[in-house]
Amino acid sequence: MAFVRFDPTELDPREATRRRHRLITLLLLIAGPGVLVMADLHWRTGFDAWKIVHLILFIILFSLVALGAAQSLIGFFLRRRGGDSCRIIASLSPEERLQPVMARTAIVMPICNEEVGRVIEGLRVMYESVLQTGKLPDCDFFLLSDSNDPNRWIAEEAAWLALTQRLGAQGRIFYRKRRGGINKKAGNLADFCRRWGSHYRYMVVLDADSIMAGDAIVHLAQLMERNHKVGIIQGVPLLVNGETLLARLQQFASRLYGTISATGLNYWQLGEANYWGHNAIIRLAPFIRHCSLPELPGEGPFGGRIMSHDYVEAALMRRAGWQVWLATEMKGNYEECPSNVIEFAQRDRRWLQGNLQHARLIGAKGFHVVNRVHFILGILAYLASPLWLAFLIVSAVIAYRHGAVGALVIPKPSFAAYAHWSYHTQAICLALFTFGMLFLPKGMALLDLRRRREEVASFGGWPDLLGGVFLETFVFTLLAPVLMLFHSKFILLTVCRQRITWGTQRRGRAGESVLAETISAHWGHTLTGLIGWLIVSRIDPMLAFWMSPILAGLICAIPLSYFTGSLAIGLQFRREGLFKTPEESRPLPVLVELDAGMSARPHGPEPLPELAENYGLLQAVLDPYVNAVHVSLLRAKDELPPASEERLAGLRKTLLREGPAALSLRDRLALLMDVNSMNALHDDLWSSPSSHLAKWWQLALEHYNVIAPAPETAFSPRITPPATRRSVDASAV
Amino acid sequence: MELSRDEISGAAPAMPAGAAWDEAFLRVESYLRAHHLEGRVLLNQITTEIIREAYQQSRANPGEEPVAIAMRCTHARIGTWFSRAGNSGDWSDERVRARGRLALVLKDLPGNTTSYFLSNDPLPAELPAILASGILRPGPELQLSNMAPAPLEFGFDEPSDPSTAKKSGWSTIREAAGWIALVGIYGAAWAASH
Repeated sequence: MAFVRFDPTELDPREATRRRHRLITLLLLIAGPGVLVMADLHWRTGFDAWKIVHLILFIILFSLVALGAAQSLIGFFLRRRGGDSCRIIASLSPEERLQPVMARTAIVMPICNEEVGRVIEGLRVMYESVLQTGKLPDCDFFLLSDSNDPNRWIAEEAAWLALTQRLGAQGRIFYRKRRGGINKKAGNLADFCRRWGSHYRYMVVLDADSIMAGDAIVHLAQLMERNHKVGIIQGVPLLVNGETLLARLQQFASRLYGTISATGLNYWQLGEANYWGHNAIIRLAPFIRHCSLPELPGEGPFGGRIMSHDYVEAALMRRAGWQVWLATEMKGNYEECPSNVIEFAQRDRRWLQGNLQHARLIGAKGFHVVNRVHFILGILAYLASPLWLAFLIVSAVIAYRHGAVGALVIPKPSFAAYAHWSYHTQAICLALFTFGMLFLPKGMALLDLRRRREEVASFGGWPDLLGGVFLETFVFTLLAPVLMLFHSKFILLTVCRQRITWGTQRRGRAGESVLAETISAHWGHTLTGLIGWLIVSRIDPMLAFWMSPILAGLICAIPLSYFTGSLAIGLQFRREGLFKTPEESRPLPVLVELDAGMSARPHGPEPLPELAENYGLLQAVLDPYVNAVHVSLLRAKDELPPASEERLAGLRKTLLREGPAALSLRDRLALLMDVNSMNALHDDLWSSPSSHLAKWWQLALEHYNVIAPAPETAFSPRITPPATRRSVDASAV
Repeated sequence: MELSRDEISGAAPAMPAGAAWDEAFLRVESYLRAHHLEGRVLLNQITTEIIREAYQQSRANPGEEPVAIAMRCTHARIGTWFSRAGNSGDWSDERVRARGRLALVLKDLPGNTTSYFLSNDPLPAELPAILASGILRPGPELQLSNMAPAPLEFGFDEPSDPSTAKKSGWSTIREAAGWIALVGIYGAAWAASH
């Protein structure tokens, strides 16, 4: 088939408008009948204020369901026709794909207290993969750290240096640690742009868990080179490396349903797509010029610094006249996902507040209407949870009122006259229609696969695939009400101005469920489910039946969360071949390489438990080489004011005499950030007799002793044996 | 301070004895080992030499802790070795010492030079050049850009391009007519049946 180039600069704006109008029409076609039938149900029993509220909630919620269904329908039909003609990857000819990109490109990975081994392995794999392509000769990698955990920070420095030595990549892979983490990830990237942004034409932004094949990075750069009016191209990362059941369910679902959904999304977004914050390429000059985030007027949670930067940066880029595209159907673009429900909810909590803050931006001047829609949809993604909760409560109230006065179907003219259905049949039909729309994307995705036998095989064949879909639907149906309660609580906390801490996501094996944490996080859900079941079953057993999936999910929240976060179950499912994805059946070399690298990582002896908490500080002070590297990476400051010098001298003295536990984290970080203190501490520690040092440091110094403790025999002097001595020391610490 | 058996018997060389000097010996040995000097014979030999030197110096400073004197001698020994390797500096300054250690680790010299690190044997001719090239570059040359926050104004406004607005406006009206018709059909269906 002859190649037909798509040129985004020649895209008729009317085409974009037409597509968006078609989407809205489809939305009306799907949502309209549902809304009419619901209104008719209320009409038949007589409208009141509760029913009006119920209907309004239904309209909002059902419209969101209809939007998902409409997008998947469009995606399905476009793929059936061979794909959308207006997609950014169609702007490159096969010949152009072979050409190298000579533009300077920075590949940046902002990190904050992430698992260092995984970050470094990911970086290594991507670096080598880019090198192997030979098509991006002028690219540099940056590890941009905002870590404020001394252990992680020091480990990052050492691991980065070891990596550059191992790969011979000095001057190609850089490390930068900010002194203060102002404005989180957006501030970290802005800091990079201010310092080094003008060296580069493009910046590929990665997350700590991103994996991009070298060819995918080159592909993004080629697309940018080809399309000079494009400011951002967002890749669609596939979820990989899931090990717990929940992670495997997410990656299976996103792989299966994500393709047609992304195609449908691109259909109406076109050059006004969104930026998701990672696995994307950015044209740096306009980004530096137009996309520095302003502060929102007022205080948090809705004012102040913008927390969720990506949507806003896309809107600012578009406002400045640059296009933003979603690169669908691009291979070699991956990320990882949360391992358990609590991690999932924590991630949502961070995103939720950021998205709610966008409410202020919907009315900001100059933004494209599609960007305003992105803001609204981002808010509704979370606001839908309390709306759903309200819908359920109002449903129960209406049922209660029917029960109290006796549900009376008023013999008024209605649709029933034509459809010949009873009140209950009509309710069942509406419920089935709603479920149909909810599950339509799944059905469309399966139909889409029907013509792709090879892909079906890589999912493990039809029986495994359908079994996976069934189980995934079952588990996520039960989890949905749990997430609904989480989101509702988070919104309440946000509105009540409760501070949100941006914790670090635990991924992979580190993210396995912990029973105590699970019980603590979910006992409220179980209680809510039980109370809800008691109330609803007393109001109307039929209503209890209808709500049983929701109530069962809540009542079983603890085991559900615990077992879906279980590594053993996840791995067992993998062995059984369930929830298999093409990325597992036929992994690209980057994934194989990452897996091999993670497995082959040397596992040295763990530090003693009593030293582990401050092991980073220990190494930075004690180890000659770690200290030298750390000191060389710190910015030498001009002479400090006497008060600061005095304070730091006091902290140094306390650290050596009383150990790190005597200092707060802030004090320890202050010492770690001061060149003179780190030099002085190294010198003082090694030059001080043990009697002048805290027990903790004495124990730390034992690490470097050559002489092993003498084996204990019957003739050993009756002094405290070494093992006991160590534990005595530890207790003193 | 206790005298060693050699000293009592008048035999040279002098080696100190006592808990404080044992600690100094252990500390120097540990410090050298922390530099990845793992060869036991060489380690013991260098440590002994340093302790001997420290013991000599302690006679001039009897009040000073043996550990402190021994570590000073250790730094001097390392400094002397670096000077032989073509990297001179004030080795009493911890900042200079840190730079020396950095050069060592950047070139992975601790692992590669176990046989001659701190030894008095002749050093490889290429060592000075290798040490001199041990420079850490955490980032490219700074080239600062001004990144002023994008201005935000609140309140909806007209699209900046009137022609696009006109086209878009007509199209919207046409499509909106379709939507109104659709909603009208729904309304008519409702009105006819209720």
